[in-house]
Amino acid sequence: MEATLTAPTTTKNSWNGGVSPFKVSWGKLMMWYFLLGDSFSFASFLVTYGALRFSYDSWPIPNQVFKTFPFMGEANLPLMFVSLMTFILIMSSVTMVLAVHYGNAEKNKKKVAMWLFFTIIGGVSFLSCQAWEWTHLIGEGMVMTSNPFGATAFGWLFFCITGFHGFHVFTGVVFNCIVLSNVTSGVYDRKGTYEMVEKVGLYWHFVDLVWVFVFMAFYLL
Amino acid sequence: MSAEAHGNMVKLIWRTFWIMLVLTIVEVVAAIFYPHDMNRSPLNVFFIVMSMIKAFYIVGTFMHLKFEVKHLIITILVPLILLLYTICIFLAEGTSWLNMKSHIW
Repeated sequence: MEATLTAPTTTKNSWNGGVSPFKVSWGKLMMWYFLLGDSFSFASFLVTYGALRFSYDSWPIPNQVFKTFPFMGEANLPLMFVSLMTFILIMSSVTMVLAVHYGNAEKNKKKVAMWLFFTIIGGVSFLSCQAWEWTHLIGEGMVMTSNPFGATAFGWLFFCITGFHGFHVFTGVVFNCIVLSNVTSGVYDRKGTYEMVEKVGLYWHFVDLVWVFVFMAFYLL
Repeated sequence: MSAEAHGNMVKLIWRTFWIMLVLTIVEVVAAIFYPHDMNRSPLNVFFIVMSMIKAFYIVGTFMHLKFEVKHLIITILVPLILLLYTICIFLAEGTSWLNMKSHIW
């Protein structure tokens, strides 16, 4: 595909089709545009959180809501579990970017498959942690309609926003599984390019990027 | 890609990882040990700045945007200015709801 794109001779010609003014493939550009759109969905959620938070006199203190850790009973460990989740997600972003790198630079099937596999493990671990956290908070009485820690809005915003993010992680894991199976069966070797790994990688890093802001809004501010 | 550039990229990836990890640890430590009776505004500004730095590293290095054509970078980043506007008007809106609650009801 790339080979058919000729170098633009003038600026005018480069915008008339047949060439790629941004020097990226159509698929990658559209992934960027999709992510740009998706960032607006997440921003709407987080801005709603901000507006509702500003409209309450008092708001739950994150250190008091998120202070438990699996198998640690009643020990007071503020933010430790979510730090672990954040670490897992950053780590999985690194393994993803390594998979992308070995695909683009070396077309190294084995290494791409290995790093993609680690990324999937990271994604699944993150989702498991989230499942535990949700179960625990629901057990403590925080549901869509009531919240023992304070403002009800905190509860339903938490479930909607982390749920929407978790759904993105889940989709990312599914995409990664599909791409991993394509890598191992040699689809990209036959195509001659590992660009699909890069496109899915963009999506995966976006999920990590969103988590930075969800983490900031819910657990830090 | 040459062997040297290849090694540099892998190095850059791991360096970015360590930067992100340290920033996150600093944030969590600050969140836990910041005195409860002190004004939280400086802390919140600190969190927002740290998150922006992390976002810069994710988008720039991990998503490779730093290395793309300048016009692609502009196309992606400029629409995000709208978000600043959204944040300003909705936080003002939230403050106004609080005022209405305390004055009208």
